[in-house]
Amino acid sequence: MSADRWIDVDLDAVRHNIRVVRTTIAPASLMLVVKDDAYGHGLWPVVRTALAEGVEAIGSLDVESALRLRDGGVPNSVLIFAWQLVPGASATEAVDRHVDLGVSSDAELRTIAAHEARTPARIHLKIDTGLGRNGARVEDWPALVRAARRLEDEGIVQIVGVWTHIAEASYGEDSDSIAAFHTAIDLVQTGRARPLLRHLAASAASFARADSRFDLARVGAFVYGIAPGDGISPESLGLKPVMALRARVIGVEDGQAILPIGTVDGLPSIGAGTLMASASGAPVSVAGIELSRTLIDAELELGETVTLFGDAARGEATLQRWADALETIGEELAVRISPRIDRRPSE
Amino acid sequence: VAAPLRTARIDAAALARNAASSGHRAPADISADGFGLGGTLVARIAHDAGFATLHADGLDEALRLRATGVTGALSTDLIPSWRATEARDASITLLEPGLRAVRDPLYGFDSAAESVLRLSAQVLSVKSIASGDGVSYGYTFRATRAGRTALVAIGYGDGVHRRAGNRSSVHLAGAPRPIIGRVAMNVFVVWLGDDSVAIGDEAVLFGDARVGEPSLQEWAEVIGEHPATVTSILGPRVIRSLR
Repeated sequence: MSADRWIDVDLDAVRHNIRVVRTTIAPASLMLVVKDDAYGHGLWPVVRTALAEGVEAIGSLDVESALRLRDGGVPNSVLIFAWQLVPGASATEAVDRHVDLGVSSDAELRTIAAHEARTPARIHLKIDTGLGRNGARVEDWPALVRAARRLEDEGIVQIVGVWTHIAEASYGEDSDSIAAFHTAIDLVQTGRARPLLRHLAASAASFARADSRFDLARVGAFVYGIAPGDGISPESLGLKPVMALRARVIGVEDGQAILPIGTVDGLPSIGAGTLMASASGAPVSVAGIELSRTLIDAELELGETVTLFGDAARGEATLQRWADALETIGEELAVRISPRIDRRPSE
Repeated sequence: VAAPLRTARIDAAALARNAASSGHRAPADISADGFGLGGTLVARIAHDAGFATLHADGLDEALRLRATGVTGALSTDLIPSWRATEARDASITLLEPGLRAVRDPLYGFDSAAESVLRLSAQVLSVKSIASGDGVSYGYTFRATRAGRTALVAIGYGDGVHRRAGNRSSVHLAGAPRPIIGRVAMNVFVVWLGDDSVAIGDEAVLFGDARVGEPSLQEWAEVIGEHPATVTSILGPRVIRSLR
């Protein structure tokens, strides 16, 4: 139990954000992304909240974390999706435990096809529509689809979805990606009676563009109230920040208050005066962040709580402002806070 | 059993040699869970090397280390007055005035000491891209010619700084390979030019400079961080292994 530094996790805000996201993206469904310990918020309180809200799909990066979700009681009626596959690793347990698998290449397809489960592996074929990370290149797509169909005919896999991920470099380039996705879907859908789960959008696109939503949107950041930044706040999207990072003043030195948290705990290293925090509802300047401590340029009481970032609605400094000032994104700051620092969910 | 996607390999023998050649009057610093290596492991090696006292910055971290089984004398830099009893009950004392806990020479954070930690991740896929193709979010990299890229299974969610994109290089298949485009939460992409690598190959972010891998100091300098920060924030999905 860390007493002098902690993260408050506002589960009411999670609930609120889930509702806002679902309303915004309807009739598409929400796949809640909980990778990286629910973006650093602590996995299980977020998952329980989502299940209570009736969320029917969870994105969980890899098979290991997907199996942990099943072990922890996420029922088979809730789709769990894993897409970062360990090269050569057996898919048997994933298939047995009803984990849907993202497939980007013939190599991954062959690995999955070697499973020994009694039911077919549920796969989502991934096309690279421009992001250049995983997914089959457009020129390799027909061969991947053919290979998957052959395995489907043999009862080894079942093609349940088609997906991609976009770069959000510009509206026009995203439109090109969406068009390429439609073409890729058509090739899989042709001659099939059963509809495919089609998914492309993550948080930002799912709010910005109706034509990006398809059947499912994979949303992480917005459910945690993490906005894209560059001036776009969670509030402007109707979202509430979930994470508040707080620490107590444990000492005073040369008129500066000392907080027992630093870059080795996941805080960013910064120049003096770049960031604001807040104490008793008033803004205070962060004078510096060292390896193990943070210095605040204000006369504060010993034991007083400083909010490094939290909710603007409470008059606190915000993650979005930190991310903007540091020219990064809120996700990077949130997921980096050390697991040694307690997450305190609000229930 | 398939190898883990991400590995932080700890050279326990090098750590022991560093510990043996440090002075032992000041305590060995095991803050931040032994700066990401594992507090109980470093505590054992430091004790064996002759350190009588261990140290952690912050009472919360000192108490956490106690709870994980760290025994013996343990100091911290500051004990808030309202937590004096808590500290006393856990036999945690204030760092002796004038002493400074031993950190950099122990962990190889300075180049005088042996390197202790090697961080690597597997190649998930290799692809050929065309001239003009963008890579990763925002297309901050665009290929100026056709060539191959590899997708590497580690990202900022594992502790790799996002600003390593378009800035740092990893050692892969015998050569340095630049990270191109933005580092994502769980992956980044490297440029291979006309070379190819195999799926499952190991990309080394930092390790042993004697075999061409970037040193921890180099890696840290390029992204503008202290080496202690780099190792401390490696996430729990980076599997620690001992060599």
